[in-house]
Amino acid sequence: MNEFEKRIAETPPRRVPAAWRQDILAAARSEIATEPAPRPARPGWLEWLWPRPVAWGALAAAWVVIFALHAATPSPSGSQTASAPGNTLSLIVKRQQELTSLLATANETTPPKAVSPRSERRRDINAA
Amino acid sequence: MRESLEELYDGHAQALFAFLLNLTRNEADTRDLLQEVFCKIARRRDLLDDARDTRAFLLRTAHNLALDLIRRRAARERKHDALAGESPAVFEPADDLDERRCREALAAALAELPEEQRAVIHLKLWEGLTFEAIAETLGIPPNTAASRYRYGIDKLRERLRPIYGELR
Repeated sequence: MNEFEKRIAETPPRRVPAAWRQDILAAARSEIATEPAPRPARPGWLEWLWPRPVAWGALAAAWVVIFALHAATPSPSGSQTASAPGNTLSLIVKRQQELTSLLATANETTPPKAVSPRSERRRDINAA
Repeated sequence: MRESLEELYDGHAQALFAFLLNLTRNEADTRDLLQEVFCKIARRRDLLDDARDTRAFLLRTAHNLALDLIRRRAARERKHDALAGESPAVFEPADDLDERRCREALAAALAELPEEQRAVIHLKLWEGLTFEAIAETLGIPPNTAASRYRYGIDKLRERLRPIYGELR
């Protein structure tokens, strides 16, 4: 720093008016008083979701739509499953009736041939 | 340990006042800006907690606020020439007549400098900052700070030569 610069630097700047101190500090303090209260801390799960609330909301909405569509669309086996107990019962009864009638018919027409011992079967074969 | 607002004011208001008055050349604007600096600090004390150098941080805040005001004022009024001619009392009044003339001439010469040169000269001469510290405070490269200082000092020397004739 040369002499010229030193001479300038020695020139004392004007003093800040003393009356300003009280007003400025009062204004600053009022800023603290009027500062909005800090937001209450969010729960952990919300803190985790918070960075992308719109994205998470969209994802939730998509799931709701998918679920609604799934519930509204009738499945191919939906009608069968809806009346399954009644159908099964009638089917069993029907099959039982068919089986009973079949057995009865078989008993009436051809009596069961008695199975001969193996030795007699050999005799029959030789005779033939 | 965190300083109270009163301690901050007592420790730094004078430097901020002189800097802001030299930049704005307007006492009412200086008062508004000084108040704005302390209101900002009151609202966001955490900003000051993160600062390495309190004085440098306050000067930077004051400079940014002053720049905003000067730009708004320039756009609104376009009174640069009239502003330069105002030369408000930025220095303490002197009892000696010659010294008073020197101070008035210095204030007028400073007012003719572009704001960016005036800011660097103020921080160098009256705050005693290095070019690195000035650069950090004003957000400019150190070389830019040094060149602005040299240009500004050359202009002051030229302007004040008739009065400061004996000083080279």
